[in-house]
Amino acid sequence: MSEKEDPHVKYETHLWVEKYGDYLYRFALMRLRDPQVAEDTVQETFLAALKNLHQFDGRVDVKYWLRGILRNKSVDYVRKSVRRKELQDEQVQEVVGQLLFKTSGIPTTRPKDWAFDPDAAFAQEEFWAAFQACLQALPEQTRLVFQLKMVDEESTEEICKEMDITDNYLWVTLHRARAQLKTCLESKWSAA
Amino acid sequence: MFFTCKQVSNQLSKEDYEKLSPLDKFTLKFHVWICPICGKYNQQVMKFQDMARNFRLKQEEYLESDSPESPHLDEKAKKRLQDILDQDKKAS
Repeated sequence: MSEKEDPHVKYETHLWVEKYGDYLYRFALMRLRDPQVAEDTVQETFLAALKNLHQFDGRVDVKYWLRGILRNKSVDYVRKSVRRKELQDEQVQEVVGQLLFKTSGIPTTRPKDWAFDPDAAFAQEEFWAAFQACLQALPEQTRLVFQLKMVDEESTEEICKEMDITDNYLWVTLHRARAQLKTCLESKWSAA
Repeated sequence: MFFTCKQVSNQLSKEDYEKLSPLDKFTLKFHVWICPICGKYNQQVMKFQDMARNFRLKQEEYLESDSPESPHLDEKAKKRLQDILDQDKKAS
């Protein structure tokens, strides 16, 4: 194969670690939290990318192509990990979902006001460090659902299909994520 | 059609709003307007949406950061990854 046609040369695979290594590692850390798992997932991403390099058409930047593969690997990891560790938690969450409302459809609790002014907090860099810490403190699946749905704004249908969950379960998970984030932010930010 | 608070919060959370008929959209808006609980719930959902969108921008800055304080792959991990890339290139 001539150098011109070789996708390794065309897409500069020898520079991937230098150009995208830390970027992908941070992305994996945000999704998976554990540094070793994040590192292994970046490695799996490179291996998958090399395997499929001949199919890559270059229509998107290599960085975002690699990030897309890493995103899918992260979802796979969490889905398998949750199946192993959090099956009972899933059942509990379904129950929690039922308890938020009485059978008449009237809420059991009234949402509480924020203990701080969110709009004023948004303008401060330290708030986002607190937000990230609170996001990282959420249980694995809850964190990923929040990131995919709220941060990345992916479709409910796609997330449910990939994570093998029902839309009701996704709704309960998001409700729980918001409640836990609010409590965490109020303790970290209001106390600051 | 009458919505209960549970149905309203479901519609708001599941983003089914666009799928509703004009009459249902009106009924939902009216419920949120007159019901203090759903009104507050809606405000909080919207605030979280706002927060998540702002965070998305911060996340990009964090991922692109070249600050030494930002997490990065250690030299051993970089070498292992580089070896994989170099070997694959050699084999091609």
